[in-house]
Amino acid sequence: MTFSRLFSGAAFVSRVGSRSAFTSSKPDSANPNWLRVSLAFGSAAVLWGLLFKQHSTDVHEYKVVFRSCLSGMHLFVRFFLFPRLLALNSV
Amino acid sequence: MGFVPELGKSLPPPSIANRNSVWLAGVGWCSAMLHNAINHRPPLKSGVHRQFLLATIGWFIGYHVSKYENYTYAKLDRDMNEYVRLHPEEFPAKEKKTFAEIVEPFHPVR
Repeated sequence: MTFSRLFSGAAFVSRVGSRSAFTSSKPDSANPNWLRVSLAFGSAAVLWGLLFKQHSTDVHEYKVVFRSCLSGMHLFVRFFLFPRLLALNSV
Repeated sequence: MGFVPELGKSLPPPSIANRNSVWLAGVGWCSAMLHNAINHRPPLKSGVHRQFLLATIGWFIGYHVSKYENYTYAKLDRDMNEYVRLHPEEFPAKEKKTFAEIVEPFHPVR
């Protein structure tokens, strides 16, 4: 038995696990809030696009730096790039 | 992003699917399901947009965490190898013994 049932005779308790401090209406699960749904999916799509763009930028930058370093056999290449080269199949 | 300095640009970037991404996406998804469960909603079936958004946020953060992790470990490796190169007297080559020299004679008791 919930505590609210013990203290009040009215049966207006909605028995939710958490309450919002912002709204007083009961959450309506039958009619989805399409604005929020579209915002959620839209921002997720934006994040995926950002991720793929960032990844392609990183790959491009890495290829540019690697090609420019190929000529000089200095320590930076020997200790920084070559160990990573072994893990990479196609550059 | 802004976490990895210029030096780290020469590292191969992590692939889109990497350990940290998968894990943090799982964390985001489980937090959405927990949110559903707390509000007495069916955990898997309700709020798919929430689950997808939180998993995406986790995946995104995980990619940048992987990038920063690669940079940190590469820097540590480089510094360690530099130290080994500059102080060879502290790292003598260990003399290798064959197994014949180490193994004790075998006296079977049958």
